[in-house]
Amino acid sequence: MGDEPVKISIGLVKNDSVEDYETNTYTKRIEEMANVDLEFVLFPSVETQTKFSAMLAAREPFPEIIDRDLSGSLYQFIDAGVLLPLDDYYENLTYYMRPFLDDPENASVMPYLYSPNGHIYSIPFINKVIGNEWSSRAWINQEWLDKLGLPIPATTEEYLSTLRAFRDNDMNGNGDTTDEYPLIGSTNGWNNLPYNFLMGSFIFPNVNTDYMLFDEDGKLDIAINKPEWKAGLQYMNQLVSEGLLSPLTFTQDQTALRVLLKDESHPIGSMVAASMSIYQESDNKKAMVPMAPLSGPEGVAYTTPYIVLPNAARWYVTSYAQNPELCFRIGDMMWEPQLSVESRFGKQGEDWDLAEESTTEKSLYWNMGIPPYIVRHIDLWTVSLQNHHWGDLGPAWRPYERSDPSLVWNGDEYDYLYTTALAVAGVYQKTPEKYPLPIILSEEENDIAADIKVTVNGLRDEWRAGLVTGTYSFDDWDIYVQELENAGLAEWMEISQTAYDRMQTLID
Amino acid sequence: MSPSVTASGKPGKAVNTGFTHPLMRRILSRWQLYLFLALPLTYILLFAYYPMSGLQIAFKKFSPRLGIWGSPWVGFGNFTKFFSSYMFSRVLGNTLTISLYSLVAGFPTPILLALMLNSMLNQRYKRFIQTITYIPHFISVVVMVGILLQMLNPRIGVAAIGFRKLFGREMTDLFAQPNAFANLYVWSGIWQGIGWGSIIYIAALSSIDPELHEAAQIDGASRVGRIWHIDLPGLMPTAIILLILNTGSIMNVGFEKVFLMMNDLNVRSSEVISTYVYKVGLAANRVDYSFATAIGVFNSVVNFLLIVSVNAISRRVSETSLW
Repeated sequence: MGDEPVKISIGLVKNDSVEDYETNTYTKRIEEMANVDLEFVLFPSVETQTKFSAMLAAREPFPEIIDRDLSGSLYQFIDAGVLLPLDDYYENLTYYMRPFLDDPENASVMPYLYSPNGHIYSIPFINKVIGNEWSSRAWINQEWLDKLGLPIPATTEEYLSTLRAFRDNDMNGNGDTTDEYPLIGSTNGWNNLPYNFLMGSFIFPNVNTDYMLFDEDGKLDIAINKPEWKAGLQYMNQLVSEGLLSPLTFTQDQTALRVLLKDESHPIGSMVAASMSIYQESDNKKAMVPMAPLSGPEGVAYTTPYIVLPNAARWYVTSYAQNPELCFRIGDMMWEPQLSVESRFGKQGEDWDLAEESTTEKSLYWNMGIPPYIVRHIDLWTVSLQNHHWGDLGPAWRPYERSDPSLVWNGDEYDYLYTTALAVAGVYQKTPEKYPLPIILSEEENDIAADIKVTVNGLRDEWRAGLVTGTYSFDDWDIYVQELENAGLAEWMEISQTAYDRMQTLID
Repeated sequence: MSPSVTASGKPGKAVNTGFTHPLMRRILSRWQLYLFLALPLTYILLFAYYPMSGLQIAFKKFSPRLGIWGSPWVGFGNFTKFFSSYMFSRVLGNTLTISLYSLVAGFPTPILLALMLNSMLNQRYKRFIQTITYIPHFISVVVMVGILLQMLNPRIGVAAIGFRKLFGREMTDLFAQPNAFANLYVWSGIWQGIGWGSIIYIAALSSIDPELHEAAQIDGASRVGRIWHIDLPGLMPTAIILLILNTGSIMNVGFEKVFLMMNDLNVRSSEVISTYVYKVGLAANRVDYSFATAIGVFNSVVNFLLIVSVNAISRRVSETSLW
């Protein structure tokens, strides 16, 4: 156009791997496409929230755009009048977001664009990484199964007898029948606790809503005081008391678990873990194959998704914006497919290329029908310093077809990304037909519910661990249910139902 | 005490204006000293007393937007919320158990170590032991808890391997036992702090007049007798002052260590006030500074009352006291 580029200030928290935001190639791309000059205000990466609170209290000016998820303190910002409602812009100015917003398949996630006061304040970041969404996964030792001539267990009963066989035979052949761990995990790490995976054989473990689900009338209910939950815990308790599920699982950290995983004798029969990357370089991982959710006594085999919602929001336009329309349109533009890929994978031609139409190569998720799209040359996420993207800040839209699942597979069948893909196929969409998505509470609702939630969840975790390991008795189940009631469970459910109903009204 | 002041006699009749006021005159005649005093006084007012005005948020519903002074008052709302919360009796009970146990077990042990070191004849060996015992003080809490977890891991821990060799069976996982938590917490604390804590006692012991010991030796006192009748009474004033100070922190069980040692299995006996405040007030999705402050105020008030009463008891009984 020849016009002088417009200066726009963006506030963000620096990603450590980014060399300089001003000279970043991704910055240059945006500046060229929108004819703007981006200026960066870097917020501290620790105590960011405190910094915001202080800035708000002192009425300090904010940059024109805040590129950071503010959902934790949204009310403070709205209260202070710092954020502009973007409803009109969504109505009239969206271009690259339009296809997503108009797709009826996305109707269920629309309420998450809105804040509880009914306005939209941000442009979302949607990164569909199938391996993160379906990360409740389990693995079993194929070498041991082969030795015993057993198939991969499909029911809780089969699993029980398989674990017993693992326990009673010297599976790793070192002459010691006591050093095998039929099932083990750790307290931290990526989904290394077996609760959710095993509970799925009894009741749907919806981690997105603190285990809330729908009852027969479509009202919100919670799983943690149901007989099925008890049955699930009893099954796990049986595994512990028979020496099948190691009680170490509930006290050791991932570092201690790794010592066992990497041990030359590899004493692991099965484990719950999101990824075989937990083995790091050890070849022991080659023995492990994915195990699909087990079918329970009532025939259910659920798995929990880890829902990615558009309320993982970015790009708030502030009242300090000189040209709020332009600020909004830049965010909308970052949803453009090509830019969205660049914001995660870097510079095309150097860091990655598009897969040829005619390619015979497979994507990581070829077994789930996702075509190959991106050939990655350099994984910028493993280098310590780069200047080709922002560290995946900013809005973006990457459906499965343009995100990690579409990466071309390197052919290594023990590559942990590939084994993860195999495991995902087993757990994908194993949910009830309808289940509640996260519930957004208003400020007043949250004031009451937050304390109840902490107490109830604390009791749930304490009793779950106690009952499974046998320090608590199932005879006291009624006491547990009563404790939950005393802690305010009913009130919490009521508040959640109100908030949920309000969210439903936002779906046109 | 200048003669002119006493000479002017009858108070009340003097004309107390400005520079003629006797106190003012006394201050002015030594103004350099008061100038020196003014600096630390300002420092304390500015950095110790002024920030205390922030305590008012314990009685308010603090909002960062309205600020400390502008937030609305809620009276004792935050306190009653804490006292009536479902976990109150549990966290208070655990806090008191852990801190009283720490005090009872942790207070005499450095004294014992100091007495033992003091009666050692080989000076090199004494210094060696002293260095070894106080080095753990410099390990950070995170690392210390990491060491503890590693050592007591029933499979790969040093303690567990030793246990297996000695008794031929697996050691139980102590971190999974609610009953073991207080023991783990207190005794690992003693292990870490005993050497450091004994330094002050060793210093006090070295100030005891050696003539007392010589005289006792001539009178035929045994080594134990000398410890009992000379060293221990010599330590008493120091020990009592430290005891009074320690009672002043009974409600403060260190947050980091408990938090790091806590897991779902021992939470019943490991949840203390500070970890609870963290979970409810700061880590929940709603940051509640007022609630956290109210509990802090509550702790401080209890600590203050304890320190005042223990000090008063001590003044009566042993004539040693802080003030």
